[in-house]
Amino acid sequence: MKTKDILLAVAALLTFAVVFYACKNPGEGVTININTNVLKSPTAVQFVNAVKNAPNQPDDFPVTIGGKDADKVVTITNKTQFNAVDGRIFLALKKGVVPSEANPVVFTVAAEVAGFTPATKTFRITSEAPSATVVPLIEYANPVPGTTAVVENNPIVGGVTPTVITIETPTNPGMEEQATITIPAGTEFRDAAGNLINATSLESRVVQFGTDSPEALAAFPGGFDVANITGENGQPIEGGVAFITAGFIAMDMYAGGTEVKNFSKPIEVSMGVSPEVTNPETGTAVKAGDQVPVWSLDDKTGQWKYESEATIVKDAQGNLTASFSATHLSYWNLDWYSTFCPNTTTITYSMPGYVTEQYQVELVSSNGYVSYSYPTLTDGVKYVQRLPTGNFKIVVRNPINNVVIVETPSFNGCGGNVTVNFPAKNDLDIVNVALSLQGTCPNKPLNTNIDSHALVYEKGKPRSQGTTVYVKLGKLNLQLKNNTEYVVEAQYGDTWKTANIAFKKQDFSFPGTVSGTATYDQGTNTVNVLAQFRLPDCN
Amino acid sequence: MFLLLFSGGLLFAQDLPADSTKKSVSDSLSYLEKSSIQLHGGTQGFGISARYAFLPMLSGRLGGSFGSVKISEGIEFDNLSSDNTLKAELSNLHLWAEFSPLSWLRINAGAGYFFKLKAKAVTVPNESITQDGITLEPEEIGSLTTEVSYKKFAPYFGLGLGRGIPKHRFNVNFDIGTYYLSSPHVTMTGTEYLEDNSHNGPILERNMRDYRWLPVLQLNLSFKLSKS
Repeated sequence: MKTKDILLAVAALLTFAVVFYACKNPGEGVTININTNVLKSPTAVQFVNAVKNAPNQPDDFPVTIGGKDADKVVTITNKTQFNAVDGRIFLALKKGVVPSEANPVVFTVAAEVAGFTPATKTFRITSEAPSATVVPLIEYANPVPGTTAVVENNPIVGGVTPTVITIETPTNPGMEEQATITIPAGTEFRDAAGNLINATSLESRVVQFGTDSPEALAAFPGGFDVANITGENGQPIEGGVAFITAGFIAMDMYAGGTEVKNFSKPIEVSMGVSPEVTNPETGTAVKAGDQVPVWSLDDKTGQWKYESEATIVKDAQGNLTASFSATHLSYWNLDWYSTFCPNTTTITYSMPGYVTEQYQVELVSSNGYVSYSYPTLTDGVKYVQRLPTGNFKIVVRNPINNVVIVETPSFNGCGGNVTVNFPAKNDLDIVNVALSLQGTCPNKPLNTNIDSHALVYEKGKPRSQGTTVYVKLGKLNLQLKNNTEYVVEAQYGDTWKTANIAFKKQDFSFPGTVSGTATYDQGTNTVNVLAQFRLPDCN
Repeated sequence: MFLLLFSGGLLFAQDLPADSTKKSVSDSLSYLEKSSIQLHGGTQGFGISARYAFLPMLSGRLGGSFGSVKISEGIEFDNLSSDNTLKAELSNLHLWAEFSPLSWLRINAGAGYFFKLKAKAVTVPNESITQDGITLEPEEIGSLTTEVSYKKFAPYFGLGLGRGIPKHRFNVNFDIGTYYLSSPHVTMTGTEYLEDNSHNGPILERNMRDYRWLPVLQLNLSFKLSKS
């Protein structure tokens, strides 16, 4: 019996141990990572002077978000006051907005920057992926090659033209076409509310964009891929259109400092048309007698509107011109158009040995469509893009000197996939960098939810040539040149931190207060960096 | 195997010639007297097993168990107010040896082969989170799934209280013991804003590295195959 008691006691003890063991919480000390980066589709917009390395760059200015989905856009810090700082603004989609190809989010970013043409860029967001867009602006005092600008003052009386005013854009070596604007005598200038502006002087700012210069076409306001457009019947053209331009003019007028929005009489605009332009309807060079639709753009909303049809004529000097009447001031454009392919095309850039940076990418269609952009390319990067129907080639140029790096054979824009193979190159010691970024706070677990834009550029080069990258959940892969000094500007919340990094693959040194480890893997030619920094806000 | 041997014995008895029938029947009865089957229920689930006494103090026992259990709030996390439900599933085939130093006491040792031995906890936040003016409701935050699994073989040892083979036709007896499992493998996956939590799998695994004892507290209802 004694043995039995002992055994029962052992059994009771074992039972107690089992119950105690079962009650222990295995989650003790485990910190659940809650990604509070709720805003999707982070979009970096950088406004730059369209002239490369121009000393005068867009600085700080307010930005307007317009278009049908404007209410779905916030700043990257979830604000609805939009201001560019150092020419940059970072946007995102509001919580809960899920963009897709079937349900794109379309909005327009517009800004008026002193000394530059009004900026406008329409975005069509179809995924949650981050993106970075460069918006080139034309400086009146230093227009980019392929454009011509004039700022002219004329006297008026009580807001009315006493005589005919004629404004003519000058020619220059990069722009042989001219535009002439004729304002009839007795024309009243009115503000946005339709009221006569009682002023004694009229300032006219006109920029004409030609069709022969990549820089001019890259600065085409709003871009050539148009999402919001109403056609000849006044109805929206579903799916948007791709413009094939014959020329473009931006007109702004100020009566006594007040912006003019309307006239009592139409003004006449005559625009020179380059004989190099191909009429997509005939497939041949444009000629007298051809007709081209005229469109206007509301730069605040990104809304294009069909206005009229212009007939191209040959003047006494043998130059081709197209004329139309303008009833309001905005952007006026001569464009044919084509529709987009029903499916998207994935463009892969194979460019081992090339540094990650901005390149000039031209999409050239056999039907005359040309699009220029300045994306940041890195080896293996894929872009999913909606292309207009037709056969295309892609031309990639050095954005500084316009030298062609690669030109693809012709491919069907609706074909699905295309790879752009850069020529072999090994003169640069390009190193892959796999960065893991962690934020630290005293007595708190590491924060790996670092989502941030950063601008990277070589020390000594203009920051306008910088590459905007996005750190997602603390991870970033990029490529740097060995033994090169870089400047890195990183955004955290509303603040920016700048650091200089002397990049050496075998001896990576952390800047300032950043600490961590870096190891170079020769097999993969990758520096694996684990960097930690003190978070500015530990709350 | 034990069952096969057991049933094999019965079949062998049926095939014997007539002059040896008496001895065979006697042998069969002897087998039956040394055998019992039992239904059991406890922490390793419900099941059935058969026992055969090779020697007066030594028996073999072969059985299977199946069970599942749901536990609320099985795992809690410091920085996430949440509800969770842990569901554990188990099925095994076990073979134990029983040594009976006393008539009411058995010392058991053996092993189990676990066809299924896993636990899954689904954690769902129950409070909203606000940051930078953005509020995420609990249902928007996502969920965490923690899965725990073990290797299939595990040794067992324990005690049995009460006769393994009933004195009469039936009895009730108990087992108390434990399987010694492999160290568990733990994974954590998240959805939505909890997606990036796979690194917590190894941390939980470390926390649970001593979770190797699978206790067995079991009530057995035994039935002797022979009346005598």
